[in-house]
Amino acid sequence: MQLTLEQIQVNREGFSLQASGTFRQGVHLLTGRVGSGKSTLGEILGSVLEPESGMVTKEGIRTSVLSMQFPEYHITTTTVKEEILSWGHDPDLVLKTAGLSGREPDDILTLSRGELKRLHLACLLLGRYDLMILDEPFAGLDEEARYWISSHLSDDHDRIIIIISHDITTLPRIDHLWEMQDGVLLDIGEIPGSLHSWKTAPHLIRYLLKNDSDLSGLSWKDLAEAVCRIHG
Amino acid sequence: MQDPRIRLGGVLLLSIVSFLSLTGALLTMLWWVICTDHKTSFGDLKTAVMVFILPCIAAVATQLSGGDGVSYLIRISVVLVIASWAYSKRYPGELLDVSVWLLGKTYGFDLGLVGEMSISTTEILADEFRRTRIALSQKGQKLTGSNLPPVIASLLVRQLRLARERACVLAIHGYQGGGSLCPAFVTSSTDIAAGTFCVLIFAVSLIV
Repeated sequence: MQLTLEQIQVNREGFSLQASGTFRQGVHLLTGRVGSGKSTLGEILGSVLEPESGMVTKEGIRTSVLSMQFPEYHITTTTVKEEILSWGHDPDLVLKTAGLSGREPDDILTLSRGELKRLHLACLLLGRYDLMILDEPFAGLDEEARYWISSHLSDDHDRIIIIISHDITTLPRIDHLWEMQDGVLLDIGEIPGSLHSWKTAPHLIRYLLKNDSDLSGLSWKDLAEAVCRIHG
Repeated sequence: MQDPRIRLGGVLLLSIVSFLSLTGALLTMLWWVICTDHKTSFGDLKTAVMVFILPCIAAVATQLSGGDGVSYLIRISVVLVIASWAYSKRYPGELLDVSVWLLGKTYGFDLGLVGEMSISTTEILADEFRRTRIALSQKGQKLTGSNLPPVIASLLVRQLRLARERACVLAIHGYQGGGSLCPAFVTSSTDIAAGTFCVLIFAVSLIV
């Protein structure tokens, strides 16, 4: 199972995006500055945006889903129950997974952004998708919910999961790292092997690598353990 | 055309003459061919068809009821084309600039602000609608009569929340009415020539 981008190019109003690379089974992190083109690339990966040139090839991927940054974008129904049913799921199971039991009859628009995000992510996690693209899955979530989603994703390496995020503090176990730099997709490499060659790594990662050369990954557990080792 | 004053003023004059007479519409089309880069904001053929479908229906109805549907269709099409060209050339803040230049820092600022916020809301709404279509496609659905009401309700609620957030931002900045702005414009010789041509077309159309 793999997704290949061959010389993808998008040009719009002074912005240019170029991408090539292969996404194989596992959890990928696509990071980069705000406005670097991550979400646009996410839409190309999710087949909702056609590139101007280049080719997207899917091998062994039968089902895919793109989670947009704001959960409100995904609302197409009136109540919580209807929204879950629109994804084809059992309302009880989704509500239990999202920690929202008893909210079935509520108006979907009365949920807070955090609750809506949990509900939306629970719908996706319970779906059988070969390819999942999650645009900023941690945005709008409190710390507890961030760990909740990370723990679910950490156990899921049988499909291709692409996390688009610039927040690196509560990540699940990441297998491969990509970075968007001024519209160009860079393949940083496998984790942890490529961590030391990540030239534009965030300050926290640079600090940990400088003080603890045994940093074994980008998950929040790996980061916490590295901090503990530094402080003895 | 760089100067929004000439662009907006020209489009206003040409829209009036195009709507009033066939001669005005044809002269306006000539102006569009000579003085512009022929760009429009229609984007693709599907959007253009959607924009022109209503005038076409109205033209057919006018023709069938004994009126001059062909003339109506040509005149309204020219108005739509130059409006679309003007929209494709706009930059954020130009309505505020022109409005303050024309009407001053009190009424001009307020009118310009309302105009800018309205245009930005329209753009946001179009983007949100695109995202809603993506959301439906992720669920394997299409926009139908049954899911249209909740989709529209969701869009409206999001727009109302955005309006509230904007109102809060304005209140935090101490906005009560009017504001300070010193607009600056770049006027090229081709802008002046195109603007003069607009005035000539307006005058000729009124005489003919």
